[in-house]
This record gives sequence, structure tokens and C-alpha cells, in this order.
Amino acid sequence: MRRAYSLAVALLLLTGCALSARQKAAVSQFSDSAATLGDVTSSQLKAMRDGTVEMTKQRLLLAGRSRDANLGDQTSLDRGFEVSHVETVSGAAQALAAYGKSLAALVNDSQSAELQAASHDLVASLGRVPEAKEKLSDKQLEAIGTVVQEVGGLWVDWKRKEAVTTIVREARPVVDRLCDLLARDFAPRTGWVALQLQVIEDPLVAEATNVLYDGRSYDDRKRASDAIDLVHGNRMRRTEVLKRVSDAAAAMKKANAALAQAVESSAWSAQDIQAFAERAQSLRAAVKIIVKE
Amino acid sequence: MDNTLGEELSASLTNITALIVKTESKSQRARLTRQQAQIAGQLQVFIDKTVDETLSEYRAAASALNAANAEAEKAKGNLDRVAATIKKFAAAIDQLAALAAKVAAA
Repeated sequence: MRRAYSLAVALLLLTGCALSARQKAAVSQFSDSAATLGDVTSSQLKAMRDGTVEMTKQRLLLAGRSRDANLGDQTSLDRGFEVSHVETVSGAAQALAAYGKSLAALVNDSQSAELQAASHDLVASLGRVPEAKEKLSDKQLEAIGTVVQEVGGLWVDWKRKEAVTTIVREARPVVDRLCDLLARDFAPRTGWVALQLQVIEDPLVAEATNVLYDGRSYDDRKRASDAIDLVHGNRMRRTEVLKRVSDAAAAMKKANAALAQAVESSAWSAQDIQAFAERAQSLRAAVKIIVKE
Repeated sequence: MDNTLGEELSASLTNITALIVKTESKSQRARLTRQQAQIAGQLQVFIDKTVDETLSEYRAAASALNAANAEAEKAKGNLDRVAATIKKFAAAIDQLAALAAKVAAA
């Protein structure tokens, strides 16, 4: 009887040490949004690179030799979206996605193997991004990697909470930094992505317009029309996707601060996490609309 | 507050594209197309490299582009002003070349 009572008390105490349903909901909403932001941004960057190659080819086809030596030509079709550049920025986006996925694995009662994979992916992603490495000591990176390994056994809920708390706390400076970088790089008027896309798009519109107006045959105008169509698709990314990525990254930074509060105290507000979820959803929806199969 | 050089360059590309689409004169379109390529090329350089905003050449280039963009805005509503716009962009491109030379030498 006494043993049963002690067990009941212990279970009650342990339950109190686990994440509450409200905390789990907050972490879950945040992690889904982070995964969306990271994955969509990364795939859009790849699409921008592919679009750059196609647009540069079209410009060369319509007008011949590049009119300025600083613009892309047949030896540099991906000018501005070179692999190394895209890899770095995409790495930052993927690190945010990995952060979200590792938190999701922890609160969604994922099996051990899934948890380990998410944790390894997070540590590897953070380790690959130079800006992340600047903000994260080896000790912090190790803490993030180790805490998930310890999840399991009788104390599983308590350990899950400890893992979530540790990851959110230790990764916060680097997550904030990566959010700042994405918000800056994707800023619609001043970020390098917007300016780079414009450098590629506008000269092609000019050449295509000249061929459209001066072309002597249907085939000439058809070539011009195809180029204009290509620019249109890519321009939608500049006008619709960049702002949403930038806004969502800024919202994620605020939501991350709210998340840190949510897992460490009972007094917190879900407002910023909700706002981030709305922006991530808006990004996903916009990309669905503009992407042609 | 003045726009940054990047913002002026971006506005130039947008304005020139709009004028190329509107202008009927083939020769003016040809000149605008060449100017646009030069401006796009300079913007590419400034994306690749950080430019010191305190340089006097930076301010001169931004100011010249600002004047050209103001003229281009008027030309969009009155195509008789395209010739004047082309002249202002030519002056701005000279200023950009001076800035590019300074940046390359640094």
C-alpha cells in the first residue's frame, strides 16, 4: 500500500516535470513553421539558381554576346547564384529547418532512431554554416547533440522536456543570428537576392522586348514571348517569395524568444509563435501558387 | 533621406525596363538597352563587393542616378523626355565608372 502510494506520488511529480499540453502545442506549432521556412527557402534558392541559368541562356540566345563584361555569359551561366554562394545561404535555411525538425521529433513522441537522426542532422547543419559556428561553442554544440541521446527509459517525458529546453536555450543565439541573416539577404528592396535577381531579369526583359517589337516573323516573336514568360515566372519569386521569407525569418526570431520563455516558465504568450506560423503558412501558400509543374 | 546606391541602381533598371517597353523609337530602345546592361553590370559588381558609402564617388554616383531616375519617371508619362533621360543616365554611368575604378583600386 505504502509502495503504491510512493509510486503514485513519484508519477505525479514526474508528470509535473514533463511538457504541458499547451507547451507541447507551442513547440509543435513553432517547429512545423521553422521546418516550413527552412525547407521552402532552401528549395526556392535552388529554383532561383536554375532560373538564373535559364534566363542567362535565353538572353544570350536572343541578343548574342553579353553587353557588359560583369554580366553572366556562356562561361558563367549561374553568375550571382554560384553553387558555393547558394550552398551557404541554403545551409543557413536548412539549419533552421533541422532545428524545427529536431524539436518536432522531441514533442511528437518520435521513436529513438528518428530522434537520433533529427539530432544528428541539427548538429551537422549547425556545424556547416560559418555564421552558426561563430555563435556556437563546441561545448554548446556537444550539449545539443548529447541531450537527445539521453532521452529514453522510465523518465522519458522529463528527459524530453530537458532536451527541448537545452536545445532551445543553447541554440538560441545561433538561431537568432540565422534569422537575421535570412531577413537581411531576402529583404525585398535591399537584400542581395532581390538585387541579384533583378540584374538577371531586367536585361532579359529588355532584349526580349526588342525582339518582340522588331522581330519579322512569328518564330522571332515566339522566342521573345517564351523569354518573357520565363522572366515572369522568376519575377514572381522576387515579388512574392522574398518578402515572405524575410518577414517569416524576422517573425521566427521573435517566436524563438517566446519559445524559450514557453519551455522555461509557466507565464508566456503564444502570440509571437502564432504570428510566425501565419507567415510560414503564407510563404508555403505563395510558393504553391506560383510554382508551375 | 537619400536612397542607397543599390536602391538607385535597382530603380534605374526598373525605370529603363519600363521605358524600353513604352518607347517606339528603335534607336532610343537600343541606347536604353545598352545603358541598362552597363547599369546591371555595375550593380553586379556592387553586389559582389562591399562599397564604402563614405566615398565621394559613391555619393556622386547615387546623386546622378537619382537625377536620372527622376527624369525617367517624367519620361514614362511623356515619351518626348526619353532623350533627356538617356543623357542623364549617360552622366550617371560615367559617375559609376569613376566609383568602380576607385573600388577596384582599393
